[in-house]
Amino acid sequence: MKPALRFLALRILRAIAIAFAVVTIIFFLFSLVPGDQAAYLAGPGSTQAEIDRLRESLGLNDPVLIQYFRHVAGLLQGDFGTSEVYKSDPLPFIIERIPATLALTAAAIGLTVVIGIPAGLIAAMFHARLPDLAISVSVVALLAVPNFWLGLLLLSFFSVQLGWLPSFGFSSPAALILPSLALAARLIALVARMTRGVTIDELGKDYVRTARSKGLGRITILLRHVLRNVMIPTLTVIGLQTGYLLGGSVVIERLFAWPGIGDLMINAIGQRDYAVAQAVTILFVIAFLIINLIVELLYVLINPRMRAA
Amino acid sequence: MRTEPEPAAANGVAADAPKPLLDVRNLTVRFEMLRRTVHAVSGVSFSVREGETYAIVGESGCGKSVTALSLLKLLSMPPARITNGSVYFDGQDLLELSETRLQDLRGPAVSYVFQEPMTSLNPSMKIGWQIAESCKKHFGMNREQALARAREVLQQVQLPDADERLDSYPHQLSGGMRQRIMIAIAIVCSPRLLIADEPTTALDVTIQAQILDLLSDLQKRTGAGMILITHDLAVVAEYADRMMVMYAGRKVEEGPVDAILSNPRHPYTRGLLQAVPRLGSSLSENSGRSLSEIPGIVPLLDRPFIGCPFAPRCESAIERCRSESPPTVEFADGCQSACILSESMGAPE
Repeated sequence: MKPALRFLALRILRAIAIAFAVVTIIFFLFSLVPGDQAAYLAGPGSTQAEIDRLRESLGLNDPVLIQYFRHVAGLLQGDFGTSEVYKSDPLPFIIERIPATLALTAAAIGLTVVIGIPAGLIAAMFHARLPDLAISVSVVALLAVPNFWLGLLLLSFFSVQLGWLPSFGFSSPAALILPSLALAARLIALVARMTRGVTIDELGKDYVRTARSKGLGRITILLRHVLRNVMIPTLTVIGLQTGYLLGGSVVIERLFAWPGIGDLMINAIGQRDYAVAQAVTILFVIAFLIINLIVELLYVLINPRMRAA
Repeated sequence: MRTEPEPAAANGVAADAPKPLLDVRNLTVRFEMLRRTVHAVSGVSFSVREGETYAIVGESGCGKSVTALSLLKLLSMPPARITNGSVYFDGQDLLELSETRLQDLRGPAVSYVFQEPMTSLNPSMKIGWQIAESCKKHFGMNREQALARAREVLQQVQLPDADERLDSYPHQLSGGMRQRIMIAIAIVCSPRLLIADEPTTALDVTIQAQILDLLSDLQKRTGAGMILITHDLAVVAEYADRMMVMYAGRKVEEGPVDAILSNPRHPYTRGLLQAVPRLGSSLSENSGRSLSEIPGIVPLLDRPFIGCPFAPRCESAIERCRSESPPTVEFADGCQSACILSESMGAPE
């Protein structure tokens, strides 16, 4: 058990180091954003004196390094600064929006597992025949389509023309369908393609011949023998791609007026509310790191060969 | 139970032997690929009786394994295609059966021990279930019954700590232990014919003898027939009753092991024996003869042959060898040899 703990500790330390580096990079990137934050916040028609006063009170006149250390010290105490739009700590506004984003991401992953993996398995079972061809062509198509455009298509067809599904907001579980589909499309295609490749590979291995020599049927061999070996790399890819779903969700949330964190961030950037934008970015990064950490640990758990190592 | 070749061997083996368990006739297998067709097995016939160990011998690529895998259609088809022949097991032609019927026979009727115990086991499934699952499929046992049977079989293959092993994964075992697991998988449904495809090739020399002893011991106890595929003539001499020598997808010589090893008729078999270090004294009067190799390489099998496939490498080849297919010559001691020159050799003195 001791090497396992050491592994865990090392990974956590690494995640913390990365988080620190990312916080630093984000801070300096935000300090490079053009435009005068104070002038923008003070609003049109305000005098130069008012803007100067605001700039002074925001600490924008201090050297960048001082601002940086103040920022990091604040973060360590859980202080994400003050939102100039909400005139308060941005954290509650962010937390309030987490469930919607979480629901969207979870639904997208669910769709990926439920559609992507079976599609890959079916393509592999019918390798080089019609179902394989159909699935492979769909995969290429889905990979080529940008998700916001697919979202628009889905909207105009299912919401506007057919009127089956709501076009915006998180009003009911049915409202999840279109945005999560648009968000997951690329990942579904990616996972289907990968599952297909790995399955074809596994089907050619010696242990499959052994399973056939026991008299097992094709379906039993696929589901009981091959699937578990396919799942090891596939779940890893899904896990690692989950982080990227967060990035995709920013666009998709905007498109579907989804009350999530991504939508909040776009608004904050539009309003030059740097505290909110920065806090959301940092949360995204931390979520990404935590997801990766969990994926790595899960990978060790589902792969018996890794467990021994 | 080592069935001695019948005493009446003088009349030819097949004539008064009991009805064979497995009777393969004129088996022909091709691999049909995009640009070429490989004639992997060409018209091979042989039979195996209950309790008998039948060895198939030959160099790599001579069609031994393809022959064995064809019997229950375990080859990937395509590219493989069985174009001709029949495989009678218990009187029914396995090649005529549907895939579902074949699945019922794989395991309880005929089972396999494969060459690579490393890759032939599923790396992410516990050993216990890899052994037990055939019992669920073929005997309708539930999980507990099947695992109990697996534990029993683990004891039969002399693997210590059976309980612990049931919960192990393949990577936690040594090569020899893995091969014992493969044997356990093969015998868990008490098959009537066991096909061991180079069962010891991947193992240390010290483990090889243990595994072969185990196989032959299990076979004696159950009275099953066994096909032992190997390129090791020492193994054949020790464990097999009858043997067939294959070359380029054909049967070149067949007969009781003792008869062939002491009096090989086919030039290829003679070459093989001269390439073996230890058997020297028993196979040739000329004990001073040194180890020799067969010159040349195995021919490509992508077109049908005219004449004898071994002729290009054969020291004693004559002109007719290159133009005529060799006849199968039968001898009084139960041996067959596919060589034009064998015709003039006659029975051993």
